[in-house]
Amino acid sequence: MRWISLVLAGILLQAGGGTAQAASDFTFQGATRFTRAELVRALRRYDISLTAPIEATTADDAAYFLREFLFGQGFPDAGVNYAMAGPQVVFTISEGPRFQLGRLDFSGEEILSRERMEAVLLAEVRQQTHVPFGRVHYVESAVQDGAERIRQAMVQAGYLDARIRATSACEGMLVNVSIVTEPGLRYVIRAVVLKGGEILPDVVDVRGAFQEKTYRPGDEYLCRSRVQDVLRKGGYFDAQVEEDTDFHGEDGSVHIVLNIRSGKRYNFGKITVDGNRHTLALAVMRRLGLNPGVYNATAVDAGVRRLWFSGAFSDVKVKETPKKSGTVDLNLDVTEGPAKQAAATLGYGEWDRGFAEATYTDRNFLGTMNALSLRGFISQRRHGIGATLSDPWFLQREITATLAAFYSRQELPAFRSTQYGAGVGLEKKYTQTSQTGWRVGYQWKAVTDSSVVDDNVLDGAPLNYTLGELSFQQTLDKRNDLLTPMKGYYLNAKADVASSFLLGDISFGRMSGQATWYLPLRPIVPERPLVPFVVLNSRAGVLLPFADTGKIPIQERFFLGGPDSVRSFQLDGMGPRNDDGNLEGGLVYLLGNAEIQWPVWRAFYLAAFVDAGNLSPALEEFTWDETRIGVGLGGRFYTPLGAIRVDYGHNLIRKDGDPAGAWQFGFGFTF
Amino acid sequence: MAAGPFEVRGGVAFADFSNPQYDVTFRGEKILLARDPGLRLRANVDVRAEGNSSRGSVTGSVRLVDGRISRRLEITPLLSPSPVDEVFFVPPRFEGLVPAPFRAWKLDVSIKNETPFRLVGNLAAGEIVPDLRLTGLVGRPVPLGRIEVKDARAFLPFTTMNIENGFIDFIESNPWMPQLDVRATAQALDYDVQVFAFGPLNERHLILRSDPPLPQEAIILLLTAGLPPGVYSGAGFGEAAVGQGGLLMLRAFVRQFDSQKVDLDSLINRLEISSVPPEYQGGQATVRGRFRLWQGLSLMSERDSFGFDNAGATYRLRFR
Repeated sequence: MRWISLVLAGILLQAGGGTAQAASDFTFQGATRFTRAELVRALRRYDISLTAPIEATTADDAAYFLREFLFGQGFPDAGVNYAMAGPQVVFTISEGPRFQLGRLDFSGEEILSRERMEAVLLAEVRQQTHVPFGRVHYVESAVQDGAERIRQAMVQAGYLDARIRATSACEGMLVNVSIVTEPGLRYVIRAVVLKGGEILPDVVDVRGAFQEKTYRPGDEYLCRSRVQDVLRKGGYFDAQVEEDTDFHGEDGSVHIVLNIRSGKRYNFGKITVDGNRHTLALAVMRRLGLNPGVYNATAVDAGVRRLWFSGAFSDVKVKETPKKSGTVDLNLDVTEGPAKQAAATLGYGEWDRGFAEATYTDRNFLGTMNALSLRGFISQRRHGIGATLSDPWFLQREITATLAAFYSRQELPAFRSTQYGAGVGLEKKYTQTSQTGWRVGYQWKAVTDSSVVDDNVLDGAPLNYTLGELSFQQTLDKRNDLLTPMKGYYLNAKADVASSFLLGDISFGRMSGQATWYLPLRPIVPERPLVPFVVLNSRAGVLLPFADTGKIPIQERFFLGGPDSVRSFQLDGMGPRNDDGNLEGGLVYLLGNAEIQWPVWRAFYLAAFVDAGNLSPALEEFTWDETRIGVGLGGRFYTPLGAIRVDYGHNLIRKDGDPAGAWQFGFGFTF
Repeated sequence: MAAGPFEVRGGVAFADFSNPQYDVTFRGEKILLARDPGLRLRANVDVRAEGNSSRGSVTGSVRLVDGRISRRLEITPLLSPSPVDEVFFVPPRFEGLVPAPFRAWKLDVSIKNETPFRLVGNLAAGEIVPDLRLTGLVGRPVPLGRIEVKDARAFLPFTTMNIENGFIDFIESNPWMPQLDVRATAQALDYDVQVFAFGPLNERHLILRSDPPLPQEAIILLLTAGLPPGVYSGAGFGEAAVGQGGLLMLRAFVRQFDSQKVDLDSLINRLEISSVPPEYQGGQATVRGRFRLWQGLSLMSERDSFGFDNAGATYRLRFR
């Protein structure tokens, strides 16, 4: 091709001082409130080190981050310039006056409540200036970032064209900030059109999940991704989905068109395993859990995750190769990790004198990917050993099977005992989110040679006994949050049977249940995630001895009182007492709690509660006279990890030995 | 450009005024790409754009230099939780940004590190290794490849998570929907915890498992609050809360001293304080402290549920 040098041929621009400059030292000028050491330390927080040779780009970065530091310290007019003066970089700092944040005014159409906008903006400023409480410095960039966060919240609510203006005005040493919001139209996905390919029922469900919903940025990609996942789950290994999205600014409608090329439907082909030196290939295949038949990408992903969670491998890679025959071959490349761990402790204790403890865990026991755990302890006064073997993928299902056995002989200040036993358990969780599941187990335990310093403590209850027990537990957890529930319910039922037919000395049936409801008094919306709510909790239990079983060992009885029970008593401090005034537990109990929590300031809540409990020695001796009622007040502070709580419960009904009330401290939800 | 030298070389040839030929090369050293209090990103850039009104291409390389993502753990966010919803990854919109005919030009620019791109601070540490290509059209670019997080550790208030595999994949069949694949492990008190985060960035799933097994919420509290199960209230809670609160305050305190010689954070990360509920009715909780000395060797001291003091040394060994 012939170039004509008519115009502009060979334009050459050079800028920025083409040669690299570097200095060996630096100086700060103009800083009155901060020493050189403080400024150097501030730069270190941004990972800037002014050590020779100091390049111009480093000096430029240093000036920028010094300015950020000064902004964060409440100097909104701060300026930092630099100059490469021979071997030295000279930073010229003008701090300007220091301001504090004054009044916040909001105007414009209210998409978000003023309360939330203020909370969003202040949270950003507080986080940037590291001031959790009290008056904050005025930091221009933090205020602008806070305003941007408000805009983002509006965009997330579907107001794509939202605009926000933050202006500030000085009033003495305070800076008042005025925020004007212009949300514009709310965008809604009016149509999701599916074109071509295999329209599986699940694909239609995906369409339904997006259609007529408020548009959030990226929804078109999410919709496409979900459709692709559905197709790959249904055997369409090389499914392709392209999206074409139209935004109609005049009415806020969004139209998503998905062009689907589903391609051929595949079956699973050959599956091979590499890298398993200590692990049985058969165990890997079983844990992968794939059934022959239609290819399913979701099942492959879940199987790979299961392999990694076994703890036997530090890495699991899968290579999928489609074949012309219509199958997909899988090659698993596993990297075995340190699945075994041994620990030994040697020490000295006031009671035990010299002691030794050893534990061994193997998460790839005999190459089966099952976990074995051994624990042994020995001292002059105690010794014992325990072993547990568990399979988290029992019967190729999400069922955890556990087999455990133990032996211990203890000589403690209060008692001495010899115990040995074994148990087997099965546990299945249906979903990750609702935590619903069941557990069934059998344990056999023998307590022999048990003696207590004061024999009256147990009031004739057997000290030496064997227990053969079958238990079943079912849980359904529909609370809205694992750590800070404010809505939903929790149900739990548990039943145990102990009998001579199960190789025990004592026989009883024991049932207990819990039902808890969380009732929000206002809708929980992003604008107000912390709402007032009521908690209603009830628990009941009964233990019925049979087959000539007399007194029930104290370890098997019910106790009430404490931070999650009747809060006007200390932990396990409520219920029948023997002649010496010692608590001896009961065989029947009823518990009811009602609590209201009300937000008073930000994440601080006040709580008021009524607790009622009845613990009777036996069903035939049940009497309402054993009922205790406590009322109280408490405080809650909700952190991202859960609530820190303090309660005081006061007893309305007191019997001999009952306290006037009790303080309770706790973390997380109450019931 | 922010002290980074650059040159633009090339020209436009008007052999045919209706169809000018463009050929421009941009080269720069340590050009500033992004900078904010938590990010510093510069790059050596070598990009060439050539073509005409009917076709063209933009090709070249961007090599990241001295990249830093700096995140420091502060107590403030815990005390003043942000009421803002989590900000989603929002794919950029390019419609109308690039005029014709350039928007139809092909794009092929590789993005890699020239020098390590580090994740620093006491919230996380590690290296970010991008291996990306910007492909597609100038008006509708498509990123392909992956960003790897190497040798990374995430410092939670009471635990350190080792990120063994950390990938964000940009795949051709699902452009602008980065896929997360992060596997991390942690040793918290006497529990081995595994964390698997996966799926599209905006719809990621998180699975937590522990050995010995714990419910999800118990694992979260173990990692974030350092509280073992069974001590959220009642016997053991007071001791655990005092221990963990003390550790948090100690950590906040020593951060006031920015020592270059001693890694105080590392020292505090070696210290564990835990509480074990009593095994019998009416007993008191066991309070245990453990300090990791060197590799698997640690010192232990405890006051048990009878009020007796015990002390010892533990050696822990992992093997295949």
